[in-house]
Amino acid sequence: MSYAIADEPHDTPWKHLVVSPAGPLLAEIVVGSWMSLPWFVVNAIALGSPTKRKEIALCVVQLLVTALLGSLLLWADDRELIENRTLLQLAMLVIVTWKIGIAHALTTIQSRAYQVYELDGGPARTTTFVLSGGILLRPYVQGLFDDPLWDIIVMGLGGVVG
Amino acid sequence: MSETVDWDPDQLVRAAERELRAGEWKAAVELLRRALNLDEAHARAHALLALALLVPGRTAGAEAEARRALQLDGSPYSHYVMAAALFARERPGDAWAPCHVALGGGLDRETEIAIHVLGAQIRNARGERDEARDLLDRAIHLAPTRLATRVAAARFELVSGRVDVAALHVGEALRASGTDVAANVIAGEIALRNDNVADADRHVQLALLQDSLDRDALRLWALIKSRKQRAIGWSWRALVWAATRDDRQQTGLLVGSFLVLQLLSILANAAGVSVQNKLVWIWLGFLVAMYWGPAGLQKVLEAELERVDRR
Repeated sequence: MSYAIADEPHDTPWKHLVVSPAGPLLAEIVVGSWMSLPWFVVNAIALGSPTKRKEIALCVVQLLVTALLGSLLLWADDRELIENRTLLQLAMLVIVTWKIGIAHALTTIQSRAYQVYELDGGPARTTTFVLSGGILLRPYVQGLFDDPLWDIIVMGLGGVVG
Repeated sequence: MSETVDWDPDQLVRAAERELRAGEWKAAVELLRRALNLDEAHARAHALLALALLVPGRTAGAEAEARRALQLDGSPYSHYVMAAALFARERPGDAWAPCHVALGGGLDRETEIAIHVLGAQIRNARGERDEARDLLDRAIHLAPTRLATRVAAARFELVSGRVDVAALHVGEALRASGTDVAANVIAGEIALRNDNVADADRHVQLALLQDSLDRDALRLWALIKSRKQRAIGWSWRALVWAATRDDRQQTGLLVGSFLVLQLLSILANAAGVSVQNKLVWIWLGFLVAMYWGPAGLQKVLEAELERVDRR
């Protein structure tokens, strides 16, 4: 077996699925977590990222903490502890900031392996079509459950003010 | 590389050293990988691999290799490589201690010069300007005509505001290599400070003909453009500024701007003004500029360089 450098991606049979980590990050903003989190996981595995366990763990943590924060927010809203709509929107913005902050951290971590992959001449798929498909599918995914917690977990752009 | 099949690790490491000196970092990495396949505990191979990985900016891999080299032999050379890796990872605070050990290590002349220049960069990044200047003076004393040393000294003096001293150093650097990218960029910056736009233009074109992706050269090019076309100068500067951010800065900017716009939107809503759609379009425009701006900029630059080439 050849000597492996710490930052090098491992060999995988799914290299044809690799995209720039900026794709899943954009998906978090314009589509929602329902698309970005699975995409980050698939990309970490396809890329053979040496930090894929950390990346997958971050995705799980993002999901769990978002669910927790969302539940807390809805509980406070039910008991009318949040006095007006602006405060509610600002609280939602805190959740969005958390989600996008984690997506940004994931992008930064995954980019290290992706840059090495690119330097070695690895091909990358364009993300435009997947993102466009995600934007088209977004209302259907958001409408799957009539539960505000579901909206908080899957929302993307416009989820705060809309 | 077929004649190297039966080489032992030491021979492979020496060959890698030659490749690295010739700027062939990929070939050096492959030779070192083969050396480490034969002897995983070869400290020099790990140290050289760290230096080779620093060339394309693989700083995480470089730090891991430097750490392994340091564990294996704790030599002054491994300390030097560790300092270089930590400095490249923007940790000048941590980089000084190994650099200090390497400075007193009695290494060969070439490495000693490189350590002095690195030490000056680290001290400068820590805000210790006098100590940085002292290290640069010692590096110049060791090799008065060395290009890299003169370029580092010129950059240091220019940032310190001592333009005349910077001009002396860059003059020496250009005498050593008239086409060096960094030297031409600094010469261009000095010319621009002295309001000699034509001379600045000549230097930046020379630099961009060598490397059209060099960030410092692109920034200078934008500055010259904005000086020539004052009315739209800010747009050149903004475009080049966006295009020369690294990936981490670009994504940080996108995420930050998105959150700021969301906050503005909420506050505007609270004041009874509905601007969310407008803000979303502004952000999407910003996104397009960030992602497709660099490609557009490259096209403009290529067209300009082609005109220069024809002349």
